Amino acid sequence: MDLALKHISQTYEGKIILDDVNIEIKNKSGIALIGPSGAGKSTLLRLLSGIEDPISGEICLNHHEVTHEDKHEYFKKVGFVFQAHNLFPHLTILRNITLVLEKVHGYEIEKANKIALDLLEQFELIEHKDKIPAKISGGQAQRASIIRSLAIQPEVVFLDEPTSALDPILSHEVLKTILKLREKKMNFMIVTHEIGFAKKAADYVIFMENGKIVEHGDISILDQPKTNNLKNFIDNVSYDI
Amino acid sequence: MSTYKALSMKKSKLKHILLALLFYIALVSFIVLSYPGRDNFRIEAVFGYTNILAKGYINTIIISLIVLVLSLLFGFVLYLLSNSKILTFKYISNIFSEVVFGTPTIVFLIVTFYFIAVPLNLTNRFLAGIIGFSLFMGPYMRNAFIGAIKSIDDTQYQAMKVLGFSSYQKYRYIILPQLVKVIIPPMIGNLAIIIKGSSLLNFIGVEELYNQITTIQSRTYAVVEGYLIMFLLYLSITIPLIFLAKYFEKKVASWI
Repeated sequence: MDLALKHISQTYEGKIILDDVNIEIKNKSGIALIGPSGAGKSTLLRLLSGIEDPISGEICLNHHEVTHEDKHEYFKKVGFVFQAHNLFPHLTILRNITLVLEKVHGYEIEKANKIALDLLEQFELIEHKDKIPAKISGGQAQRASIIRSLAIQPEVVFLDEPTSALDPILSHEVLKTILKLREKKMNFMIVTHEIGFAKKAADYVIFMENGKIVEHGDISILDQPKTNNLKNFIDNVSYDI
Repeated sequence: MSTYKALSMKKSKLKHILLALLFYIALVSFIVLSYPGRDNFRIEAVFGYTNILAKGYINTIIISLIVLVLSLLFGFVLYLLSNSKILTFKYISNIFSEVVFGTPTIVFLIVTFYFIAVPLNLTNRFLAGIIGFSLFMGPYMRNAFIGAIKSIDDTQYQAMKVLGFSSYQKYRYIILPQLVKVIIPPMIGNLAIIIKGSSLLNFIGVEELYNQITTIQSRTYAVVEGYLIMFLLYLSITIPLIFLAKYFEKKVASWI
């Protein structure tokens, strides 16, 4: 994917969250957004996905002028995975996936079912297809919501700390699912605290602090950081006890 | 193994239900045996007027169902007003609701009848009673709507947005199906309140169950017997409703 941000700023209730962010990235498939809490990572992801609009600046993602484009059309071309799974509680796992395909993307129900069942099979959730979200584990539900975002064959999938609500074992199964995105050559952008995982899954890293991008570059910067900020951050998160 | 466990749990539950029923049978027998007027107890006197009894029973059911529908509509309007961005509308709804919550049902019904219905020349007591009672139940319905809408959390709205659903599709496929399921149990609860409260319409002369039984009582002097029949007839409507509400609550609880 190609990405260009020009002078992006965002505030909440007078507080500056993103402060004149600029970046240009070309032809990357997995981008990891890392940084301490409150750095503005999730906000940046929400701006890129069109869920929020910035107070100023321009966002280009591939050929989409996100800030100017009809949001409703843009949403049909990107996927978003939230911290919590956000599946609809009254629908089965299968229906959670097919409803979007059928109603928003206009697929015939047979075709929608086929797409959903294929994905559930690949991601080893097929035996849970007729259950409602409350009857499966948090990890399975999060994987189902990843499938829901994949089913529409989006140009990019945005993942906002998809494992933060899960215990380590369930996190692991979700992270394995995300690694599959990489195998599938899917474009994705993930906010994560798991540095080890970022190294495996992504090919580009953006490090943020206090609403600014402090350092960015290929995945190797995680081993040889140029700035002290990134070095300190990595030292702090990869502690041994 | 697990089905066996479930079965034995069911069996022991049944045992306790039977024991509880036995307790009440004993209690009722005790009351009947020690009741001083049992030699003059003539329940059959009431049965001589089954047509009046039936009229009251049917009227109570009809009134309750009409009040349910009208108060549901009125409650929805109140809900929309309390959610309005125009603060005046919000306060109009809120003040009315607080007034209702602070007023005994019978006082509200009498006040609306004598100060609103009568001056407006609405002399049909049946209709006036239904309107007054529907106004009274509106805020309770409003609260049921508020509770139901709250059950759909913000994360779902975000998901609907980013998945690209149109406004119509959001309501049709995601919000309404959840609302209907969540709102059924409190609505049945409100219907039980309506049925019980409808007995108060007697005081403005509506010919419902309570009213009709007082008619029979005055003709037969079977006062105690009349109250006993009244007691049982009200229960015959409300107890099935309570079971129905529990059934729906279980259904809803399974997916929340």
